[in-house]
Amino acid sequence: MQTISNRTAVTGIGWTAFARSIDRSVLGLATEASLNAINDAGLTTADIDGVVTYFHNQDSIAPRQLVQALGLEDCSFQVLSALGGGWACAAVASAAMAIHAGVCKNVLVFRAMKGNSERTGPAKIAAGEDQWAKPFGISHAAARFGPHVTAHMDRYGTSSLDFAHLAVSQRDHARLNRKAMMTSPMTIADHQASPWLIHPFRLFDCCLRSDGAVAIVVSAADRAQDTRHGPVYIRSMMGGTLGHQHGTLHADGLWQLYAKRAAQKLYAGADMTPADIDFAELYDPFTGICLMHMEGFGLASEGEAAARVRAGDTGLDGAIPMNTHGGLLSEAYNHGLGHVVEAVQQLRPGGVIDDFCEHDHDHDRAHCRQVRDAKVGLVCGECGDSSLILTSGL
Amino acid sequence: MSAPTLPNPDADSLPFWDGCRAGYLSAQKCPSCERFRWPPSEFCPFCHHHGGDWTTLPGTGTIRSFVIVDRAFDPGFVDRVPYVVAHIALDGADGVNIISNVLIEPADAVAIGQRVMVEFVDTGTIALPQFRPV
Repeated sequence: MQTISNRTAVTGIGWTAFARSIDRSVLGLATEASLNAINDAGLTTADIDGVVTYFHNQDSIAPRQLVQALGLEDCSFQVLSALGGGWACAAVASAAMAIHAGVCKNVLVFRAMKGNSERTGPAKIAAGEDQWAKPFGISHAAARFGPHVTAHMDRYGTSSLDFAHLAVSQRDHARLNRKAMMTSPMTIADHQASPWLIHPFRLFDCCLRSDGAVAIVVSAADRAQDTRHGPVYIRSMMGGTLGHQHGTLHADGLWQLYAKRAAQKLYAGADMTPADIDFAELYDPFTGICLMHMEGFGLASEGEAAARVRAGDTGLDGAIPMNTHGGLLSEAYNHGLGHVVEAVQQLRPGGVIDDFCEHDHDHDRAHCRQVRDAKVGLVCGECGDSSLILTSGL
Repeated sequence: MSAPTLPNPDADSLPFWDGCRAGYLSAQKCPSCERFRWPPSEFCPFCHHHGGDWTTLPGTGTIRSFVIVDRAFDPGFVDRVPYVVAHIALDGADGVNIISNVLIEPADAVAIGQRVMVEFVDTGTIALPQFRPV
């Protein structure tokens, strides 16, 4: 087990609305989500003594800007990462480490962006590692991730139709999520009729672009009993990566991502196996990549994730409910912190708060997205570069 | 063609781009452990020997994977849609895989396992490697 296991917990979650265009500043969105998370924890800004955030192509603010906006007087540690969606769970891990080290008591983790209305782009030069990709027309993430999926399709026979089943499943989940952006029904035929973007990806294989912010509060587990909802325990964490960008230049099989390596250490750090996972919120920039994450983390055998999805195993009543909020494909593009929030919602004693259940959860899938007996949740960032196992109890 | 973003050669990669200008692909072979490395680097990533011998390669290779870009997101490639971006394992340099374009008509005739050969496109300052099926 990791020595940090069960020593820290997520105690607060908050978000703004998600939309194609929000006419407010990134700082304003970050502040709102953060205040919501702090309030959700039953804490005040005076209790926050650490701030962690991450961005991609400099599309967000530095932690100190939020320190100023929240009037934090006592910030002991800040972390800013440029590593984007791969770092989503490492952001939580960073907060946990600061607490476990005794440097901080309650750390705010946020991700705020105007990912659709104010798209930042990479620099218009091809320097450093970019000189091996940009001159050849790779400017969309689909062109960077696509070769992994093409190789997976070639090796295992995964198909565009398989991707359709995943997209439809996640759209069904999003329709039970009050904050989800995409809630109109999607059929297999709709997916197959959507235009090719960058083969093997159609439009409906690709995640959304959106504006909005998400925040969570991480606290010491032995102080979390005093918070409003109590602790969701962080049992295991990983935050490494393959040396090459997306493993694109890796000599080993392109059909595997870092997830496969991370999984071994994540489960060992939790003293668990994939069989212990009740549900999973797996980074879904593209349908095909999400399937590879399932396999990487042992929730399906190599090449078998598509079959599990087709069989309904990843539905809310399936053996391994997945992306129960709709994910990046249908909830919003919040760079993976939304996956952490969903896991926490599922694991809390009162369960999910923003589906359409009026009172207690009845698991009627016309209005309820609460997973039955959710005790252990897996969350991962892009390529499985970072991951967490969260639990409802010890 | 509309202009792609040109690479910025640096201290590590300049010999590669000079080789392209002279009409050949090359990669570093470690004089100590004899393994090829990519991307170019001062130190061997396997044995950490400082230095690498630039070795001329035959210019042929095999497609390991690819995408077909149907919608232009890169301004420099607007008039090339649909175009192929591929990962190519280079002959003569075990483990060296580079990213490039495969010039093939129609674009969806590209396949994993296809054999390809380099040709260089002169952009004025840089000679960009591109590949064609053989």
